Amino acid sequence: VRACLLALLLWLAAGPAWAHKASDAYLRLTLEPDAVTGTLDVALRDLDLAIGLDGNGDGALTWGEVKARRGAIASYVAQRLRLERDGNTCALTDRELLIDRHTDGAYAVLRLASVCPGSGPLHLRYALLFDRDPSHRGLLAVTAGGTVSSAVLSPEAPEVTLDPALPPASGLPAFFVLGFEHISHGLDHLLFLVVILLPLASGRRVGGDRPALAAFKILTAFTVAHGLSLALAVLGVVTLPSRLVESAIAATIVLAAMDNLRPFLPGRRWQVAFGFGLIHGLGFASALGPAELPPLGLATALLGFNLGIEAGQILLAALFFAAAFPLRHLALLDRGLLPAGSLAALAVAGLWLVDRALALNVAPF
Amino acid sequence: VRRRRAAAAIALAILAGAAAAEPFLPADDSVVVEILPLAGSPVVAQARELSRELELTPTDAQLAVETARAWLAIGRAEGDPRYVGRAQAALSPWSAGLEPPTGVLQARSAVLRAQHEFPAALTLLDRVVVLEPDNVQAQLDRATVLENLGDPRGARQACVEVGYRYPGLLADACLASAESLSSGAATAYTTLAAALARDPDEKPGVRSWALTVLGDIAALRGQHAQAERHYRDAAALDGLDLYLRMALADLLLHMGRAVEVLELTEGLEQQDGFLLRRALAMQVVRPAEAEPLRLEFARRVVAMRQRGDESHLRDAARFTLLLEGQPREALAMAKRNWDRQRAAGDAGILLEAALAAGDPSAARPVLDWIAQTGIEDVTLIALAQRLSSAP
Repeated sequence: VRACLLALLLWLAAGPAWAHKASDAYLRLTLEPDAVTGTLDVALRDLDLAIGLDGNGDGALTWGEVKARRGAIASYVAQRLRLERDGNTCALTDRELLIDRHTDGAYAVLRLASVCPGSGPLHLRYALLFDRDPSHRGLLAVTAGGTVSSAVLSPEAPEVTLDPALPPASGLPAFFVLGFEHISHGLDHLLFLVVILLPLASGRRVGGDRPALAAFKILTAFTVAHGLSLALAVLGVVTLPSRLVESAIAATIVLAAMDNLRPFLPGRRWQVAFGFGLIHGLGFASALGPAELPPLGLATALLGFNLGIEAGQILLAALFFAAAFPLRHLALLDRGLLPAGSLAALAVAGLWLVDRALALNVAPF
Repeated sequence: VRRRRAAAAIALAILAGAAAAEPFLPADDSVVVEILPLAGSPVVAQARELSRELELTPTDAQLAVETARAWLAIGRAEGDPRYVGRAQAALSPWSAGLEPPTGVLQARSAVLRAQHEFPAALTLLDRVVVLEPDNVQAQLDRATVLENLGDPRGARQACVEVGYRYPGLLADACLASAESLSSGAATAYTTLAAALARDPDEKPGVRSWALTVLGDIAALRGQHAQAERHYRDAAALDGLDLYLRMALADLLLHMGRAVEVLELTEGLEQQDGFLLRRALAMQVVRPAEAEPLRLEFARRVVAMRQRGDESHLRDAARFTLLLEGQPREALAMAKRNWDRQRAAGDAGILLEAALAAGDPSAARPVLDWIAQTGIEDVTLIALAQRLSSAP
């Protein structure tokens, strides 16, 4: 027991102390034809308040004590989490009991399943803990047919209808919009694209490719790269301070602009776009928050988000070429626009770089 | 589009929470999976006993109020909202339409104040003072709520009501606090200092509060050394409670004494407010060690957003501005926060964020409020001047 206690203490010491936060339970459901599966995470602290877990009253909950109350936990959940379809209650069975950690302590994780045949909508009524702590909330995420929706269940709003036929609150289209908005508000990402596409404006071949093909290669490489690093960031595989990421993004613009003036970056243009795309992807992740993800919903979300960003990029490139194309034969472009545009971008991005690296927050844009 | 976007982000965050850590099967029955907080505390045992008694007679108003007060005191001492939730539960029979006695109204308003639901708290207190015009505690609470709602004139009026019925240091401190939020900070300071000198035999709790108010006024006027002295005197008299500790941490941060902020916030990272101040100080002292604190706060902001909780947006905005370096997001948060509460700190973060985001027009409501109240907070005035000279 002492060894276990020591292990726990080490585990506790590993991160900052657990948060004092209001009570939440996390309910994730997946709707399938005639069936529902999911998991419910409830804080052990909260279960102890509701049904008592600490058998010997010493304040230290052992796994044995929690397991001994498994039947009580299951019947508490079954009473207070009701699924109904076509007027029939669908029984919930608990298939597994595990432990997980959240920011505010250890949680019991129940894997739930219910056979729930019928054609009507599915009703959910949630009443865990509300009598003991009315500020408790049930945070619900539902995955149905590749779309995700969410609800916050409270004593004032304990019921929700899970109807896969209704338009989803989110899902691919919503994440598409999120991605599109993100790129269109992200001046730094847009400026990077302009800078890297700028040499193509004159209509010359780049690395042996016609401008359109070169642009396609660059944009594709950039997209694949940021899709990759975005996924890694959202999955929590890579976490970097946002100040570092934001500074590095500014640095990519500075470097690309300098390269326009006097080429020095190694590799082909699309390879540069790939490398720098990895950095921009980490920046995109900030729009999604420090997230981790579920199997189906996450993939959809990321795909939608990336497609949204992609649409924004293509739109920008189209506008850019539409503006540059009529002027492509003017010598002015080569001798004037490229250096002038690159210098202007260099100045702006340099300002960002200093502003972000030193956290001055003085840049007006 | 904005709502869809928010819904999408929230759904993603909830789903994401699942993958944060892998659920696991403990290796052995003897593995300790959780240590319940305050398990051996006699105060908690007593509150729990009250809750048990209340279960037998849930509409016993006196018992319900006593139970709620017991949990609220623990919630305040620990800074843990779960205990506030238990206080709320003790009072729940009266939320279902049952006409509550004034004691219940006051306890419910205390719960709402702890949850930063100031307008709702005020509504209840207004009812109390109509039913019981001589209820001094309710008037004092009204003054606090009105200050948090950015209405020093209303707060002053409540303090005057206190003074009629219960003249003394309590009323003086109430009045000075309210007046310091309009154009009378200097006078309020000298008047309260004189009242303290006149009344050396007042209870330590009241003297300590008066000293805290004195410290707040000095800090607002930019007299940092004096403010620190008053805060420390207050702590010596009646202990360093969380409010005082937070005020002191903010003051020391402002004075650039980050090492002392680390000492002051040591072991209090469970509470968001202290975690934030610790992270800000750590960034100055040992930047490498600030990173885990920043990540932890970011996780808590996500948790707050998931439950739709907007009660602590001020700290979230401060975090987003100073540690995440995202002025536009910080400004949006500070604006929503300003719609909920309007203390000087709420004004400050909005001005800072507007400045950083290069959006001076967003600061307009706060600048109007400063002009209207005549508040002489030197930090606010300096920010307002920078904003008016911004392009």
